[in-house]
Amino acid sequence: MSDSASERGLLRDSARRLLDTGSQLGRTRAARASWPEVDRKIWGEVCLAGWPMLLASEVDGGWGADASDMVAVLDGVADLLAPEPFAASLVVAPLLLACGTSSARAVLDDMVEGRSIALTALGETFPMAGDPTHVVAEAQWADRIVCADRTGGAFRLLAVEREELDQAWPARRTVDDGSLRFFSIEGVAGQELGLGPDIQGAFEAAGNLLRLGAAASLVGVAQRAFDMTLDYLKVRRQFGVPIGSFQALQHRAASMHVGCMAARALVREAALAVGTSNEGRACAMAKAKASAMAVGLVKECVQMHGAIGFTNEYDLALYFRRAVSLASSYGGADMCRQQVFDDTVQAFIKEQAA
Amino acid sequence: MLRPETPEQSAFRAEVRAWFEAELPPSLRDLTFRPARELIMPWYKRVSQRGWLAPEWKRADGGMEATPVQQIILIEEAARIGAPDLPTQGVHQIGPILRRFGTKEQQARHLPPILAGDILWCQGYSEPGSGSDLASLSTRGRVEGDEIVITGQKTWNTWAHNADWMYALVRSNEDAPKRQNITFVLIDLKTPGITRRPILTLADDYELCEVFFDEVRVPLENVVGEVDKGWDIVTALLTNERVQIGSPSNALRALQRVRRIVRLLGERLDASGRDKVAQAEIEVAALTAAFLQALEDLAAGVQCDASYLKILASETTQFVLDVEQGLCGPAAALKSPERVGEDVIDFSELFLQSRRLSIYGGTNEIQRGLLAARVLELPKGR
Ligand SMILES: Cc1cc2nc3c(=O)[nH]c(=O)nc-3n(C[C@H](O)[C@H](O)[C@H](O)COP(=O)(O)OP(=O)(O)OC[C@H]3O[C@@H](n4cnc5c(N)ncnc54)[C@H](O)[C@@H]3O)c2cc1C
Repeated sequence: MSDSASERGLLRDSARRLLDTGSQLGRTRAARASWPEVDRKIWGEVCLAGWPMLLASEVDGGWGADASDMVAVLDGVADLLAPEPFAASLVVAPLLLACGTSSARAVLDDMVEGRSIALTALGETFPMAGDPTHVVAEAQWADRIVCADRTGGAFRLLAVEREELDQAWPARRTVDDGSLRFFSIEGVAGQELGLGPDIQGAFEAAGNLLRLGAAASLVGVAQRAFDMTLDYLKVRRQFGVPIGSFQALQHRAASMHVGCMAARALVREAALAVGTSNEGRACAMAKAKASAMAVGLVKECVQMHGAIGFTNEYDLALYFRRAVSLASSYGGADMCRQQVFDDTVQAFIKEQAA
Repeated sequence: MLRPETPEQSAFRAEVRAWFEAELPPSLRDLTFRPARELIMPWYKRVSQRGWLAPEWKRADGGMEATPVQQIILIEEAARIGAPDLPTQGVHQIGPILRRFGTKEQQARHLPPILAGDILWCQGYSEPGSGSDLASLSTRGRVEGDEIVITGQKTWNTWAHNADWMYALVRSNEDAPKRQNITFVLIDLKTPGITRRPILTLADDYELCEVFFDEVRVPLENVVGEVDKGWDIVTALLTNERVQIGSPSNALRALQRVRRIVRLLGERLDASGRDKVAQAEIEVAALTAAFLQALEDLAAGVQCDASYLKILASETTQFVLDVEQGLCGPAAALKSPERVGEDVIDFSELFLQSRRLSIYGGTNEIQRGLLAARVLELPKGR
């Protein structure tokens, strides 16, 4: 959509104006206190402003924003730690529109008009009780879950109402006061939104965008944690001098800066690959890099703060827990690296053969 | 580069690839060492004539005014075919300095032979007692009439034994403060009184040299800028050139070698090896993205911090070569490359050489210090 950095800046600023109520992470902490209840006031405004249609094309009544716009916005708002499922919601509209069915359109209308939030679940397994096959993040917000049904070989996209899952598959709390709902769709009716390979492609694209979005958010979270730490290095004094004058800390801070900048560069580059044959690999690269960088960085931030950094009261704790949670969502660093390896080696062998 | 190419960019890539395939002699491909001067210079000249020696330069200066993406394409294609490292001290270091600070005469005399590949330059900054603390250097340059008379020693001078000229820093005034008595001077290495001794490195190559000066008489017209004002030249920001320190060229070259080993290993590569290879791919992609964005920023007039790029480029390359060592298993210690089928596989040489990346051009500790002070604005270090 936007060609210039300044237009992207405007987009980011308008998202910030909505999500930043000036509460200085007060909303984040309130969400923590009321978990799993959510306050939908700001979400209503997000919908009213039309954000769920950010990535939908203009023909479909969307904003026609591209992946580069998305990462600029998400990197730019991540420091707010807004409780709303802003990032996760963005990929839903293009996926539903790709279905082209009336059932999908209805789910989208409910979402856009703020009646019912639909979020996308990805296929992941973990040997928990019941052997779940899917997981949806920010589950306390998800009234509906859009997920894949691959039973019987063909690909079907389903919408599952949260009530269908509540009994057997309750949402579990995450360290950052979000939630994950692990589930399997065995015995779940759901509603068919579309089927066939094209829809499967759209679903995979949504998964890639979720990864890329999480990578952008990780960079934003890491940047904020780093900035807090730089401030602290300048004001905290020990041995009569600011601790930031100790070279041991300076050099580590420089490494953190390098890591954060490189991850941001990779996320931006990966966004340019969305929609090309490089998309899956690029998004996996971005997510792997951003996850490893952010988790490593926030650990260093805590260390450089000493005990205050280990308290819940100090905001660094919120960034730390957010980074940890995002890093494992939609495919953690290890899983993404597996994909990178598979795709890269294939590409290399193909190129050599050609 | 992960982004898609425009049709023009793809055409440029095809042109570069075809040209390399046709022009680069097989004997110069996939080398681990810098080839001898007489072997490398014909290739240098051909690259120069093609306008690709310093592609980012203006056409008038012998470049091609390459866009950031074109520069990446050139770097990627050079790595793909295994093109050798060129001796570019002239092009990347003294050339830009002369263009900015040199007299018309100095420019007319020295710039054309650099591009033509007729004259090789080396850098004479470091001394046995002055490395990171360069301003403490003690080689003397005594002004006598229209000459400056140089006595002392330089060391760690890359390829000085193969070079024709040296640009050097000498202390020209005993009395003035430390940074206001350094002179930047161009020295013809054939001048009487100069002795050169190549230094064998840890990687078992003669990459370095030490150079002794005994009452070496250099005409004052070879001083760049003013006598005693040389420090300003060293510290001047030559943004365009400094960005090049972040080139992913070495890292891509190393990655290409990792990929070949991966292909040879096939199913024998275990999960931990695959994970490391993926990490190498990701880190190089990040470096390439960072460099590309620095070039784009520069084109848009945004200054980029070279310390960040230097740390990133050098440590990414070192990381990839660590991965390569791991993949080689029992063969990791083998000294020389070997041909396996269509491929040349090397084991330890690039890895050994890569230690230098975090030492030269200002060590990575010095870069981290600079970054902490200038970019992060942390209090003065201790
Ligand atoms: C392959 C190679 C090629 C080179 N080519 C050239 C060339 O062509 N021309 C030329 O003039 N020089 C060249 N050099 C020299 C290079 O610039 C110096 O090696 C470098 O500046 C470091 O100086 P030094 O070796 O004296 O190490 P020192 O300065 O003695 O440093 C030793 C160690 O102490 C650390 N250290 C020093 N000061 C600090 C500080 N303030 N804070 C924290 N740590 C510190 C360093 O990082 C290093 O780890 C080359 C070096 C190499 C390895």
